[in-house]
Amino acid sequence: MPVSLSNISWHQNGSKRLSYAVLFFQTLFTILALYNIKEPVSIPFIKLPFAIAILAALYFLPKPFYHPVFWASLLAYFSILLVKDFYGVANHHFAACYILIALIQYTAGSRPDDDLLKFHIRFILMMVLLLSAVQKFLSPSYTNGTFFQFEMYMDIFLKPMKWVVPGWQNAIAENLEAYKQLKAVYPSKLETIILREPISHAAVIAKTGSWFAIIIEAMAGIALFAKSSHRISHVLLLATIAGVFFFRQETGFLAMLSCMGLLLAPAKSWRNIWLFCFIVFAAMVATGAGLR
Amino acid sequence: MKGLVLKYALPLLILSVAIHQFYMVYQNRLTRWKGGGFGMYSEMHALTREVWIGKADSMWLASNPKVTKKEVANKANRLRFMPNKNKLLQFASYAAKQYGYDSILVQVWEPILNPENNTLSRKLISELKYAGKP
Repeated sequence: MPVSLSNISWHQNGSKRLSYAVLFFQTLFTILALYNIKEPVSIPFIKLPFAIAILAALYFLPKPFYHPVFWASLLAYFSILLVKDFYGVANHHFAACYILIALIQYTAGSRPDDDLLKFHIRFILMMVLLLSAVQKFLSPSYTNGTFFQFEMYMDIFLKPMKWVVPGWQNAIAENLEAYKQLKAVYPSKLETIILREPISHAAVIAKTGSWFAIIIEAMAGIALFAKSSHRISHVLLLATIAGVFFFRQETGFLAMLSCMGLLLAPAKSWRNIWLFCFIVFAAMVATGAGLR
Repeated sequence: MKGLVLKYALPLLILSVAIHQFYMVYQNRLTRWKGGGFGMYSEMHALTREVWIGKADSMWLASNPKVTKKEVANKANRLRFMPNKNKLLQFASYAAKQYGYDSILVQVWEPILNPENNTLSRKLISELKYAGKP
C-alpha cells in the first residue's frame, strides 16, 4: 500500500478521545530539538548534559512522551536559558515554556485530562496571536505603515517578490548600498538618503498590509479560543501562517503554531494540513532555509 | 479548588508575563520584540539602532568591532534592546573606564522613514552625558 498522508494511522496511546496526542508530542519535540540546536543563547557545560539526559529519557523510558519527567527535563533546560537571557530570547521560547508546563500538567495527572490540555493550548494560541495584534496596534510606526515599508525596502519583507516584480531586486540593492553609506556617517550631520520604491504605491501597500495583519491575527486568536473546533478558526490560523510565511520566513515560530493547530484540528483532513505545514517548516529550520 | 488552580495557573502566568512586558516597554523602554509580549515585527528591530560613543567632537559607532573594543561593542549591542537611563548609565561608566575617559557621551539613534517622499534619516532616541558620576 503506498504511503500517503491519508494512510497515517493516528496513534492510540494514553487517551481514547485525544488519540492523536502522541503526534502532537512528536512534532513538538522535533521543533524544540531543532530550535535548541540552532539556539545562539547557551551556557557552557549545560547543553550537552541536558541533551544526553533528554535523549536517554527518550530511548529508555517506556512511552516517554506520556512521562512528566521527560517534559519537566525539557522545561528545566528551557527555563535556564530563559532566566539567563529573559529579555533576549525569542518569543517562541516563551511559548515553548508555556506548552511544556501544559504538558507536564497533562501527563502528571492520574489520567490524561484532554479538555484541560486543549484549553491550555487554545489559551496559549489566543494569547500569542492576540498579543501580536495588540502590540502592532499600539505601535505608531506599525499602524502608519512605515515599519512595513522600511522592511520591504531593506529586503526583509516580501523577499519572494524579486522573482515576480521586474526591477525589485535592483531597487533593493540600491537601497541597501545607500543605507550602508548612511550608517557610516555620524547622524548629527543630518544626513538623509532617498530610498527607491521596489514597486509603485509602496506606501499604500505597506499600510494596507499592516492593517490586514492586525485584523487577521486578532480574528484568528479570538476565533481559536472561542471555537477551536470550527473550520473557520483554522482557516484564519492558516491565513495568518501563510501571511507570515510570505512576508518573512519565521519557520520555527510557524512550526510551533502548526503543532498547536494540529492538536486542535476539527477533523482528520485538518490534521493532515497542519502536519504538512509542520513538516515543511521543520525541514526549513533543519536545513537553514528558514529562521529557527 | 485544586481543579481551578490546575486550570487557571498557566493562563495567569501567561498574563503576568504579558503585563510585565508591557510595563517594561512603556516604563523601561524595552523593545516590543522581546520579553515574551509577542511584539515581534511591530516596530523597528533594535538591531537597526546605532549606538555612538565618544566626546562631543569625536564620536564613533560603538557596535562596530573594527573601531571599538570587543566587550564594549557587545554591551553596546545589548543596550539597543533597552536604551533606558539606567542601562545608558551602566554602559557609559563601563565604556569610560575601558577607554580611560573622565566623561563620555552615549547616543542611541534609530532610522526613521518618511513614507511621503521615501526619505530615510535617523532620530536620536536616547542620550546620556556621563561625567564620572550619576
